[in-house]
Order: sequence, then structure tokens, then C-alpha cells
Amino acid sequence: MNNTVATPIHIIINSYSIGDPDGVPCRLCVEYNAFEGPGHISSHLFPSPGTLINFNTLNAFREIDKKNVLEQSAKQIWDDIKSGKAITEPFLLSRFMLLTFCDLKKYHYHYWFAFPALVTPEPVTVHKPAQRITDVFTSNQVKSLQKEYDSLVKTVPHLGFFLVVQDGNSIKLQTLDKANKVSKKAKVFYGFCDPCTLSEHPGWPLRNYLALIASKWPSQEPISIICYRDRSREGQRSCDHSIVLEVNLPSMTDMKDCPKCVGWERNQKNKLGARTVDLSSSMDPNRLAESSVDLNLKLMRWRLIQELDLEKVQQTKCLLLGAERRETKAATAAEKLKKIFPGVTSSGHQFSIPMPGHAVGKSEAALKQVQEDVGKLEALIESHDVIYLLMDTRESRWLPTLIAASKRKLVVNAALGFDTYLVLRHGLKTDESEGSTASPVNLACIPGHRLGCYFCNDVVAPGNSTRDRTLDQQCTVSRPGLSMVAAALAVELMVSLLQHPNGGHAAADTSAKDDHLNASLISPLGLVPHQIRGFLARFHTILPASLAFNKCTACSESVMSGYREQGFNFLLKAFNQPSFLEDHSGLTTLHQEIDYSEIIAFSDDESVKSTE
Amino acid sequence: MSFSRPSANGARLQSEVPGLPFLAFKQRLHSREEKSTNQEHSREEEDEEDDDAERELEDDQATLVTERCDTISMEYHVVYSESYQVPVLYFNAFHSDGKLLSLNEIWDRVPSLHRQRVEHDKWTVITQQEHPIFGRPFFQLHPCHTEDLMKQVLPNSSESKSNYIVTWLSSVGPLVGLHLPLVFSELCGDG
Repeated sequence: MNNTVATPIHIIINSYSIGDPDGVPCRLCVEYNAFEGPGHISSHLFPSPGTLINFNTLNAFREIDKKNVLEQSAKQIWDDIKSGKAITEPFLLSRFMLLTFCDLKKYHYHYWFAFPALVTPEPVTVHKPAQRITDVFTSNQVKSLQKEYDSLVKTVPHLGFFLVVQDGNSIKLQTLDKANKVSKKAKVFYGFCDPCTLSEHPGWPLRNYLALIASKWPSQEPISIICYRDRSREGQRSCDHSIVLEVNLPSMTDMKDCPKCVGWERNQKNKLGARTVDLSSSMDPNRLAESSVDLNLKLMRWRLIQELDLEKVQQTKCLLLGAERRETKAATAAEKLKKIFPGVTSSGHQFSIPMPGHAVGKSEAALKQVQEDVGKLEALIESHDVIYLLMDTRESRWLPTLIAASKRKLVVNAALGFDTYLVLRHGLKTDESEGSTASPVNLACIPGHRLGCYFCNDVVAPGNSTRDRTLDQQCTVSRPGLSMVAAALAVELMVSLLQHPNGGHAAADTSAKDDHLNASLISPLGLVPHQIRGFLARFHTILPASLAFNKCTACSESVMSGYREQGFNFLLKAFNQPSFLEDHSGLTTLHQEIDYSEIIAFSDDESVKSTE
Repeated sequence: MSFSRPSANGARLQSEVPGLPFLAFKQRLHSREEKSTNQEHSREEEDEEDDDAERELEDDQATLVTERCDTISMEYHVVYSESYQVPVLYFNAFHSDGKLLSLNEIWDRVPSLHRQRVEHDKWTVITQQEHPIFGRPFFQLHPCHTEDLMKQVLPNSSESKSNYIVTWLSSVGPLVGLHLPLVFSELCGDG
């Protein structure tokens, strides 16, 4: 054997059972405790010592000289027979060989068993075919055979090979080393524990047993064999299905050289080849994660909501915008997602989002950079289905809002205060709706294309203002649980939205006047509000809905057509000129139209405050 | 907990963790179909029929070559669940090459008469969980219906506890191939 190719040889102990029901094929059981030595085998099983040879490459596994391997094992058995060791330790007759190669990347295991059986120089012929033991012995004799076996096995555990001595009516069991001391007038049966369940054929362990008998106790007369089988059925134990046969056995006492040997196991196709098993479904962590997520989704659908469209959830591409000012956060986030679910496709992108009121530098390099960043953002938004706006500042949400609105993408906004949060889905414009903000709408049920965006309620443009601090600019500190609550709600809002037959055009469900308690649930997952505003101090949530504003600095018709017609130049003006957006959208005019003289009086505790 | 008589069908009372005993059964079920468990193999990976081997290692006439069929090895554990306060049946099923059966394959083996009864609850009746003692994945017959079931079957609360396991196991076991021998019914009082 070429030991430089194979990794170390291991001696392992396996076991076989003689108690299987009819028709179940013989098997040798190789379990994880095979490496621990013979002591661990259950009392009703029989040990089979063997050799495991593991190979490092598939080629080595295939090219090893199989004939040679078998011959080495056969020689061990033959030596044990010749030396007499097999008489005192007959389990050595049941040796096996196991060749393995493990592809640990794919979790494919290749293996090939051999059960070496020495071949007699001439064939063994049947003198009397198999009979049930109850046809050869009386039932009392069979009972006492069983009793004898049970008591013998107390002193010689796992005894697989023994002599059954019939003297008159009595049946006695002896170990093999007493073979020469048996009385001449008694009839000797060679007994062995037989894992085979076929009624007309003995099991494999008989072959080497015959070689032992032929070497040590040859006879011109036919020899009798008891294939002892012991099983429990319906709580009753019986060995009545054991079989007895008689064979003519050629002598092997004068043989010096190791006899020929057979024994490679046939594979599932009944050919002499190795077997392979693919365990990736229970061992590959990626496959396991996939199947557990899949099962979770199945459970939801099966048990709770049969109408759930799982594919839609699985296939939605999400873009998460946020985490500015920290260099590596995007890439880390993508990695973390993979840790949670290895099957996710995620990537991190690091770039800056230009903001209105934050002037772009005059240099060409700066200009080029901003143009690139805008281009990147446009491409990312184009290639995803849902955009999550998770930034720290209000103005950084402006550009993605505008781009997503013009590309008709779903947007979910999440914003945090100290102990308040807002989760908002932007209204999804249709091609007709861009001009229709004038037509009346049912405020109790605002349709999706008339819903507002993050900026619709503002009467000042987002800018680099230090005075008007909006919700998400008030604090950089939030209560620790807040981000998780808001994030979770943002995701669930999206999923509910996707399950709604109208998708982003779904009308807003609101909690005004307890409407949310009475609303008919069209989406299988429930309400699809426009906004979720939460107040952690009171553990209270409300579901407001608001209209799109025809002078919105991000999604109004004038702004969107400006972007559509002038592209990057429009955006550049917004970045560089603080008043551009207010002028363009019509907010400036609106401010001018407010006639302060129309305000009659303030009450004592009122004052002019900037709106939020 | 102890056995009233030495169990003849190989059931063992095991205790890996002190104070947490559980019942273990093993059995082999004959599977009628020969199912190759390697359906997704690439061509190079497939172990070629070793033609040389076929010629040199020819089996002699003394070998009986029978039809190939798969046997499924089942392992059952009965563990007491503290949270549900009922016994729970954990089990695993392996093909002869060691591969674990998938949940779908387990369902295919549930006898059709039982399948109809639990069809609407399918994915919650048999689930895969971490074994409470070994930590390995095991299939489990979900315990949430056990208490209701047992209330209907054992209405008289003065029944001695030793009937409980037999009654329960004989009701739920057949779903997953575990049939208690009839002789166990002797343990159930009125028999």
C-alpha cells in the first residue's frame, strides 16, 4: 500500500445486528463512536473490527490498488485463522475495509466498503438446503438453545461464533476453543450469529467461518451450520426463524498461502464502484441558513396567511442609504447581512450624497466628483425596487427623494428624534398624477399617488440652516431601542406594502378616528399606513396620512420637471444656491403671499415659531 | 422513571445529563424504493463504474446479489418538556448512507390516513428543532396539541401516570413509523 498518498490508517469498530425484520438487508453499522474501541457496542450488537483509509484527493481514492487492499486484509484474517487467534477471538473473522475521500468544500463524501471473504479452493456445496430451526429441533430444544446462548454471552459478551452440541436430547453451547473436547458421540453444529434475514441463505460472516472450520476441523462428512437469528416482534423475542443447513467443505489445513479473497461492496447501481453521499443539505451552513429561512416563510404562509406572495418578498431589491461620515460602515453592513443570512446578495458602496444648500466646490475636480456621485446614486436607485432613507440629516434625503420620485421607485423613510420616530412611505406618482394635485381628494382615504413625501409638509426648503432644526436634526442622541423599533417598522411597512395588490399606489390607512380599527384589510399582512409616528415616552403610535404638496421642494411637478429637463445642471443649482429650490417650487411666492396684517391678534402665550 | 419489565424491543432509558432521563428507541424501516440520494452530481464527480474492478474483483458464484433498496434508520427519543409539561417525541431519520431525510421526505412517509388529519397544520406538526440534550438537529412532533389530545383520551385524572406514555405514544407514534407492540396495552389499566 502506498502510504505516502493516504493519510493515516485508523482502526475502527463497527457493529451489526441479527435482529432485523424480514426483507431488511444485512447491514454493518458505522457510527460516530466507531473510533472509540470495542467497549461501547450495545449488548445485542456484534463488533466488526476494520481499517479506514482516508485519501487526500479523489484521484488517490480512485487509483489505489483495490486488489492489493483486499489482499492485505485477507492476509490478516488468514493469519488469525492459522495462528488460532480467530478461535479465541472469533470476531476477528468479521473484518472490513473502508476507503474514504471527503470533499469538505462541497460536503461530498466518497466511500467504499470491503468485507473480505476468503474463498475456499473448491466451491462449497450444499448438502442439505436451509431449513427453519424449528423443523430440525423441538421447540424445547430451541428454547434451551436460546437460554444457553443468553447465559454464555454473559461470560463472553458479543459472542458471534460458537458450537451447538447436541447430545441425545440436550442442547449445550460451547465456545470454539472447546471444539476438540466435544464428545465423539455428540453431534456438533457450527453456530454463528447471522445478520441476514433471508430464509434460504446464510449471511456473509459464514464465509470466513467456513475457512476457519476448513483449516482447523476439516471433515469428509458434511458439516452442519446453525445461522442463529434473534429478534423481537410485538414485544416478543424469538429465534425461531434461525436456519440450519449442511454443506460439504473442502479441507484447507494444508494451505500455506493466503487464499483468494472477494468482498468489495457493490454500489447503488449494483456495480463494483464506490458510493457517494452529498451531505451539504445538512452540513453546509449556507444551505442550512437558506432552508431555515425558507421554512420560516413557508410556516408563515401555511399557517397564517395563505395569500402571502413569498417570491415578491424574496426578490425585492433594497437600497439602504445612510451611514454618512463613517468610512467603512457600508461595507461592514453588507458583511453583517451576509452573516445573518448567507444567501443574501449584498454589497456596500461608499460615496457622498450631495445636498441642497451645501455648495459644491468651484474646482473642476470637485465638480467632477459630485457629478460622479450623482450618477452613481441614479444608477443605484434605478437598479433597486425599494429605497430606504436612513440618513442623519434632512437635507441629505432630498436628492434620493427626487430621483426615486422621478424613477417611480418605492421609498421608505425612517427618522429618529430623541424618543420619537417617524417611518414614512413616499407617495408613488403615476404619469397622470404629476399634474393633478389640484383635484379634490377624499382625505379619509388618500390614494397612493396623492400621498406626500418627506418634504411635502415643509414650507422651507432643506438647506444648511442652523435655525430650523427639524425632527431628525434635533438630537444626535436617541434612546437606544428607538433605532431598532423604527428600522423594524420600516421593513414591515415595506413588506405590507409589497403584499398589497396596488403596491406603492395603495391608499393610506390612518388611525384618525380609529379608522385603523375598522379598515378593511386588503393587504394580507394588514394596514398600509402612510406614516407611522411613534412616541416612546408614551409608548404610543399614530398613523397620520398627508397629501402631496404642489409646492414641495422634492416631489412637486415644477421641481421634477426641472430635474427631468435640465438634469445635473438643475441639481447643481439646488446644491449651490440656497434659495433656488424655494424659488423654483413656488415657496418663495407662497411666503410673500402671507399678509401678516391678516393675523388679527396673538393670545398671550402664542408666539411666532418656525414650523416643523 | 423505570421500565416495568426489560424492554424487548430495544428501548433504552438513557440519562446523559443527570436528572434528565429520556427514552430512546432505534429501528430500521424498509424503504420500498431505491432512492439514490445523490441526484445533483456533476458528471466528473460521479464515481465511474470501475471497469477494471469489475473484471478483477469479480464476485464469485457464492455471492447472492439481491435487489438494491434503501433502509431508513429511525432514532426516537422521548423527552419531557418543562415548558409544555408533556412528553415530546424527537426523532431522526437517515438513509443508509448517513444522509438525513428532508422534512418533505419525512412527510412522504407519514401514512396517508394520518396525513389528512394534520394536513392543515402540516408545517407546524413536524418541525426541526435542537434536541434539548444533545443540541443536534432533530425532528420533533410539536407538543402544543399534546395536552388537548391527552385530555380527550385520558379524561379520568386518577389514571396512574404509567399509562400516559403508552397512551400518548401509541397515538402519535404511528405518524412517524413508531408502533408500540400490542403487549404494551397491558399497561393501560382496563385492558
